[in-house]
Amino acid sequence: MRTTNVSSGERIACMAAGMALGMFAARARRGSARWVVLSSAAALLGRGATGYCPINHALGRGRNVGDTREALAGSRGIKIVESVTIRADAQSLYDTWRRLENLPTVMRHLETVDVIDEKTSHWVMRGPAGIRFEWDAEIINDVTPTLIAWRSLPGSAVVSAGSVQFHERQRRGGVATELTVTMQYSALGGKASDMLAWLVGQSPASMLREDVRRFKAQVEAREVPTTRARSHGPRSVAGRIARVDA
Amino acid sequence: MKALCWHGTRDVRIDRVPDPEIVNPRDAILKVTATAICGSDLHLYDGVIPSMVAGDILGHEFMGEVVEVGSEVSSLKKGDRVVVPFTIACGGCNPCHEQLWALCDNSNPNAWMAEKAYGYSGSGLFGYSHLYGGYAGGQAEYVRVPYADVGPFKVPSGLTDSQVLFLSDIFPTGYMAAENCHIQRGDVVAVWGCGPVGQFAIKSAFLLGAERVIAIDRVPERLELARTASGAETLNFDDDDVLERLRTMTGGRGPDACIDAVGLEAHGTGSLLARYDKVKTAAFMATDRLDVLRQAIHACRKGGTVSIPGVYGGFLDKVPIGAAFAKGLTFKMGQTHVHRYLAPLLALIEGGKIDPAFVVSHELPLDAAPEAYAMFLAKRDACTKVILRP
Repeated sequence: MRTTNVSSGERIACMAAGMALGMFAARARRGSARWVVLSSAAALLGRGATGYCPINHALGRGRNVGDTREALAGSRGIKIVESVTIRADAQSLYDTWRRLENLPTVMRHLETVDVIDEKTSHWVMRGPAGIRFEWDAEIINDVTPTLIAWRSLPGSAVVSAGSVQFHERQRRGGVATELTVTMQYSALGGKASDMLAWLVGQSPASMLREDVRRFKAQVEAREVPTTRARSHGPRSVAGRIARVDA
Repeated sequence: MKALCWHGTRDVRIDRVPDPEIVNPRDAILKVTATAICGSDLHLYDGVIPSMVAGDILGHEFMGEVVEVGSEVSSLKKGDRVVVPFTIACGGCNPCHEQLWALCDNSNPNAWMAEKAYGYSGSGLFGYSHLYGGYAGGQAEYVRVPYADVGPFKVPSGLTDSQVLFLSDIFPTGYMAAENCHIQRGDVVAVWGCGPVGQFAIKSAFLLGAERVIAIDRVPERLELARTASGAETLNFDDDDVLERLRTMTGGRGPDACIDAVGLEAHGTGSLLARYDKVKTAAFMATDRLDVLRQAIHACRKGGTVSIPGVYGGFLDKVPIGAAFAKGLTFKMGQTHVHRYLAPLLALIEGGKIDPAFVVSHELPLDAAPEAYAMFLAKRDACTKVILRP
């Protein structure tokens, strides 16, 4: 994987600023100033797309990008928690989750998870505006059937750590398990996080909630509910804007 | 295919739309043989249920013939004649296993929307707004039915469509409303609203052992039907002081249970509060009109039950919660857990205890649906229940 030394939040900001500058330059009058603006736009886009910045490199900045203990310490990064009750025993849920390569079928923002060995895996996420984020993760705690915890390896584009816990309960409808996912990202703090939410139309918290909801549906109903390909009459302008059939 | 589509307040049309297809492995496609307009469809027609989008196919009471099944459906085969519950349930979650089918965790693909409005989401419903999943409804030639191994219920060939069609909604809905009253010997049950659900609630209350049922409405034919078909006593809220009459008719105690089979569009009794509701909803400052609910709470005896099969969607204003508290009332409400009533109610039909066809006033082709909606809303031509034939 390519070495990165720019945080994901900064990469998104670079992409957005690069695109804005590019559009500005395209409309500007011809002249040398236009080329200065265009080349700055290209540099920003390149920095955002690759996640590598030669200036950072020269300054020795960003060397610790990817260290979860540093990037996620204290109030740094964002933390999201989601909880759901699933009608299944803890062991079977643990087993399903532990097959990490299956997670992208319900976790829609994930493209692939490749299991490298017992502890490490390679993750590819489709980010906003088509940017792909890739990182390696390792399992740092694994307690059958109650807990799986992981963190990204140093040098990753997305610095993250997370865990999933399974607590079995006796409920009126039969045995059920409370599943709690905790996730921390360093890259998506502050303004960049807001922008990310705006670009994908969904906040990381609601993305996680929908992911967990699909996981539950897949386990309990053996399929995820959908109204894809629903038949309907002609939509009004408002209906097309609301993209209800997207 | 042809389908009845919603285009705006009091604007429904027959449109040509794409045929439905199998999307998930547990789906089935039905060729609809009979479908009905529900009183709750009139709430959509009147534009008081949020999150409708022009082009949505309506209809949640339907039955038909299986024409195609998904790879995971082994309990149904092509040609089976089935009735479909209007509540969509997966059969695998805790609520489904508790027989609370209308509260299924998994069947609403737009659960996030309902969670914003209500905290948690109930099940998806056919043809009943995007808040309830955005599923295409059954007032069409064909319909896609999800979780077809759980919902569709095979019906015997000896029974006609109009005898079994109402198992999809209004018969179980009226029955659950009565069951929620925990009727005991000697009980008097008051029912507000003598539309089809009210009629089934009246019949069910007698079947469950009520000694007397008092039916309240203003439409003479409907009151007449409640008297002749079920033996209810009736009050016309245009002529009678309902609260005073209920008191004197029950030895000064009040009814043991009060059923609100009207819901959020109560016409009101000319009371000051009814006029207040009308002004406030007209000014978009409130969503629901609730004169019936107020009256039911006020009329109910101490320790009694208020059972609400009528649909509410938003916020209530001036609810006499003090009266409910002071009298120690129990409230029961919600969408019907249709699946749990299918077999027992079919047994009542087969045993001749009830013939649900008694509510039907009109049988029309699907093409006549737009006129049928207008007629049903205006209660013209003694319209109580319309069956549509695609």
